[in-house]
Amino acid sequence: MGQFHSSLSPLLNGLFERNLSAGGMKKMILLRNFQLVPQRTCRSFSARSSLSPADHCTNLVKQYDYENFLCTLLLTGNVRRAAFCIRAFNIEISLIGDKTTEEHIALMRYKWWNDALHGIYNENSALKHPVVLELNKVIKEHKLLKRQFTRLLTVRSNPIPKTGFKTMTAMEAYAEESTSPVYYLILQAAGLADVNADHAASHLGKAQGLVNLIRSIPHHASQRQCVVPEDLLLKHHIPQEVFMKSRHESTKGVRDVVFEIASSGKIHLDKARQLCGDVPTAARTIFLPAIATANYLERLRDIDFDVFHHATHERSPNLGFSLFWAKLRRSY
Amino acid sequence: MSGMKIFSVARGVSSFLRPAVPALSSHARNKYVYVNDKEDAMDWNSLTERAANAMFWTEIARGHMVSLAHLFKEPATINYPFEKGPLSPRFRGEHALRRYPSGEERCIACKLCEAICPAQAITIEAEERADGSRRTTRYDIDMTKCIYCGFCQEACPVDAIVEGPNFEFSTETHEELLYNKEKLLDNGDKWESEIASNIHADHLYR
Repeated sequence: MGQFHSSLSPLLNGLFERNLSAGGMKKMILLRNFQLVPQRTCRSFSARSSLSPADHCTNLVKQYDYENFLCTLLLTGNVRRAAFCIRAFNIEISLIGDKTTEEHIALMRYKWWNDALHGIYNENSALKHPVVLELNKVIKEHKLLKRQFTRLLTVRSNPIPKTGFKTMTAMEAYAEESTSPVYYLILQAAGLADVNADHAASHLGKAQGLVNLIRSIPHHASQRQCVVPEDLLLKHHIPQEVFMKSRHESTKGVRDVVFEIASSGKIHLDKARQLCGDVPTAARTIFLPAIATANYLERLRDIDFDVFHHATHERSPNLGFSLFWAKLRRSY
Repeated sequence: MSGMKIFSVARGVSSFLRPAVPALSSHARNKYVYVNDKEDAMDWNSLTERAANAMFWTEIARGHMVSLAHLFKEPATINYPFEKGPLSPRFRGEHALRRYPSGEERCIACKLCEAICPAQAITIEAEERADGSRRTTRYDIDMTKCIYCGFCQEACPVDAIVEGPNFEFSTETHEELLYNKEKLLDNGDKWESEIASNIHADHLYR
């Protein structure tokens, strides 16, 4: 009986949530009328108040990329707004691969984003998509380079092949191409042109990209895909099938492979952190995701590189605090 | 064994020529299961036992115990209209047009869904609004043509058209299944919380 009840619960929960949120919204509006809560609080609670494109970007990052959301919150002023917008764009295009089953349909959507970018830079964009609207504003304001956006789009539109990466180098290259441009863009928005900062961004991008790929192993396994590079599989004599099974078990070989990818990520992370002294102080807050990446790697080490362990999906409770502390200490 | 003997007699001469064969086959056939009814034992003990069973209706009592046991068991069925079976978050049911939290409709009339639809069930007409944005004036889906492949939702760059979790939209007439824009937007408003909860991830996968 329990099984059937639990299967019903999403539907029921949906109903209740809707009722609750409607009631909650009324209460909030009431409180707002008496100016008991600030307007922003109401805005984030109620489903039907006017959300600006900037708020939409923030919500998108909060929903799909929680750790980076926390890091971006610690930026200040205009840079924060630009960072949320850039990250929202990154999220939109990185989700395409999961939302589509046919490669051609995915290409259609990448083309749409390419056209949207083209429209922004040629000043004839009429698209009323909140992320595009916000991008339009941010790009005009900070004079961001189109090249970095195109890099992000290109790397995603050549999808990870069904057979996974050939070599570890290819995996690292993908990690860098898919993550570092975000940091270059945020640095550009902050008006920081510094060689050391770019160097650190490159290494941090590699580390974070690799961590993203490690985290995605169970997700890709559910779609019978294996992102682990072939040369590592050959080295440890394990078949791809191990990473595609619905019943996950981390054998020694699986742990060894994950350990190698993680240690490669760790090397890049350490390199990025070594450069901390040379990076301008203003740029250090931008590199806060290094803390989140290190946090994940440490947690992974604590569970002995078992990627299928449930702890890998849990949010770290003290991450917010350590990020804030790092911001106060002006390090990352 | 007797069957074996009849068989050997029927074969006649050949059995004399190959004396090893009967020994081999009798070896292979020494395992069998008796499937016929066994005859009841007719000694006094079993007779009285059977008579007592018949007199005190013990079999009927045992049958009742079985039904009683089922009373306490978990039912194999669900009480359908009130309880519903499990649904995958990727279930593709009735279509809905979503809105942004600001209340503005998402659809920007790019017509990609119309182009990708293999059943050609979608019809869109669009024009520019006063504020310069392109919006649909007509968005029709023929639900009787639709094959629920989900390509429209995959192709939509703004996640406007989705196939929601609703599977109970049977009607009495064909005309009611020719959905127009109002009906689709209405569906979106009705199912937004479920649709939104089905698309969620905590971090990026690529």
